[in-house]
Amino acid sequence: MTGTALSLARVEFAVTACVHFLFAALTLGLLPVIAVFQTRWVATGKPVFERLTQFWGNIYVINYAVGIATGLVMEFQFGLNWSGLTGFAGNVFGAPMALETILAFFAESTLLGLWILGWGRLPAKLHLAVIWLITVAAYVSAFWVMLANGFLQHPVGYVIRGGAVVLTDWAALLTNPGALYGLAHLLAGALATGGFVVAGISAYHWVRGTTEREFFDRSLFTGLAVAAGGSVLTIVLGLPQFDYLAADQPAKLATITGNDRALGAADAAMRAAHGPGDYAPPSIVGPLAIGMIVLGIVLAVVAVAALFFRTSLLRSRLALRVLIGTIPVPFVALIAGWLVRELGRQPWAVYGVERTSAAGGPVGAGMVLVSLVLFTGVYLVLAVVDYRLIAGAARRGPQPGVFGGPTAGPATHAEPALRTGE
Amino acid sequence: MQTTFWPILLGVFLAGYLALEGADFGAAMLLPVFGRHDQHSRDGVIRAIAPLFLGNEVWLVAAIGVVQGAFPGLDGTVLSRLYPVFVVLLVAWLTRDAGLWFRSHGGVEWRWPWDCTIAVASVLLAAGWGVVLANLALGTVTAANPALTGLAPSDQGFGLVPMLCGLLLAGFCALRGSLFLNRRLSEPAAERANLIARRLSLPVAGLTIITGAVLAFTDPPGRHWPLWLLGSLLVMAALATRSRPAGLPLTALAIAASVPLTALAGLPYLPTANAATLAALTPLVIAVLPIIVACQVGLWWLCRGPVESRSWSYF
Repeated sequence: MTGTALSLARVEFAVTACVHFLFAALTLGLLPVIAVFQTRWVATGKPVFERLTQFWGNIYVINYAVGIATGLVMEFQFGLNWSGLTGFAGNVFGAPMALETILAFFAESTLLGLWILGWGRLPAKLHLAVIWLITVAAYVSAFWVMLANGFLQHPVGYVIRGGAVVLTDWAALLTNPGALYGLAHLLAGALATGGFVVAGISAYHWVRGTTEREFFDRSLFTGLAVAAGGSVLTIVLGLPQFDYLAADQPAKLATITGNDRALGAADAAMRAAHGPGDYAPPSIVGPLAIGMIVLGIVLAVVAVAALFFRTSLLRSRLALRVLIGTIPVPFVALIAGWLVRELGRQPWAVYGVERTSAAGGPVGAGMVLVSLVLFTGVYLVLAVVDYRLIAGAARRGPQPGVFGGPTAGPATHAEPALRTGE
Repeated sequence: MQTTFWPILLGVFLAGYLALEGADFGAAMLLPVFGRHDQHSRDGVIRAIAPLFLGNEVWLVAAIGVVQGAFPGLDGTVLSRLYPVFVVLLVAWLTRDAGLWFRSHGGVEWRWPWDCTIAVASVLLAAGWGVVLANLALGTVTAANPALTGLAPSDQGFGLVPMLCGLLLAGFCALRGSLFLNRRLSEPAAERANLIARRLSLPVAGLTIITGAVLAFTDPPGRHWPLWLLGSLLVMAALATRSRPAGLPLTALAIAASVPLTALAGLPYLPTANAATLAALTPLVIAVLPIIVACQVGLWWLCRGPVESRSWSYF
């Protein structure tokens, strides 16, 4: 791959991963909330919990569309642009990727079909089991993806034989600290994101003077609890990564902290081990990390304060508006964090083992450019349409029979457009 | 055992994907046939396929996973060799899925343009897979990889035979889709779908024979017995659609059979992953697969009856 083709392929992967990340994180954050609402519905039989499940479930399902679409393209991009990586590291890197698709993705999509279709058709307890299985599948999916990513960050459990990586220690791969620290931090961040979205949308309805008082009171409280717990956990689980990086990826840590002396030392150590070259990650990693940390702290303060003053919160339009305005912030922090993790790994595709410049496939720059333009164009349309659909569904508030089922009126519910085409 | 389990699993996932999604592709191709003003029938078509497409398309996702885990390097060879074909496929796939997700979530007037988009994307998807399969069968792909023994390399993925095969698979999916709609929709749309199937069956059978003839002239005959078997199966299935009950399962069988037969012709040897990797993967996959298959069966069971106007509303 030429330098231009490589740069384009990297941009293409970054765009796909970032768009995927936005939607996949919300999926992870919303699912437990929905599962808990549905559990309470099955346990108490109170209609409000069924409506809560359907309202937030609908937003989750609309959101899932872009998550799955970009996830699919990412799977194919390894083969399209990065056959240097899959050919070299596929024996280890491919294993968690395979398990992600077969054990998690396959199960999640099938179960989601079953859940959407199962409203009013499956026995209540079986239907409840389905949403919990979807939640488990989504989290298992994140586990395998981070295990694959963790191998790129901190390769373990392998030897190089015949110019390719061979798996020697499956247990080491499964317990790779390079994967698990990141996974814990990421899952907490995803939960916080889900919580802020639920709280923000509920705050919007309170500002608008909703008549659905019980509905949005429960939503707001649940959202704030998840947001507070998630954002505090994100910080707590993020901190140990500094110690870990100091030993494992000193150049990344030095770029984050802006410590030029440490960066010089890390660079010199890399040169001694791997020959001449520039081993410093891009300097943008520094400001991105600072941004992520500042936003993370702000989010934790907002969520904890809002939860603490919950009873007086509803009287303050300003506080409610702050919650609405906070909705995009966790997404920005997530993307910043992801970029720090991935850009900070450069110039390595597999840290210390395979350079990014060797990871590309036999593809020309023109071809990569065409695919970059096409994919980005489609993502843009998808993301905009999907965002508008989510925003529309959120603004309309709970509607009867989103998924059909027993609460749906006969026949008319089949035409959601009649409601929405205003 | 490892070296037979994984190729079979890959074959089953790919064949399952094409057989199941073939019906979705074909049904969606019929959307414009019902016309702008027959929104009722078009909604019926969407309701017939939308609950199932998620569960159907993950068969391909699983297949890609199998390739990544058990055949590392194979996806790099195939995908980078057929780069433009796969870019078209992926864009069509994204567009089709976006259409299915989004078309019912807006005003009524926004359904017709989405339906046309879904139909075009479905044609491209079916045709794209036909092109990919043809390139696999001809050995275009394997010639690039020294680990695989292939036939004469051809520089483009879009040769005459691959293009004909693309057209053929699109036609075959249309045939299968119309039979599927005939089963799922109520009158008069069901009868309309049946009529389309009857009209398509002879042209599709003819196209199969023409493709076979072109292949025989451009490539040395006799080396492709799996392809002759496949061709005969396709012709038989196309003709069988004229009698309704046999048509639906036979078209599925013929499409599914195209995967192993193509592989036999063009991929005589698949380099599997290192034994240690396979030993780690196999027990986990064997443990979970029955559960997923049970869920797939459950999904189909929920969708067994004919589509009614009130039966299902989400899409």
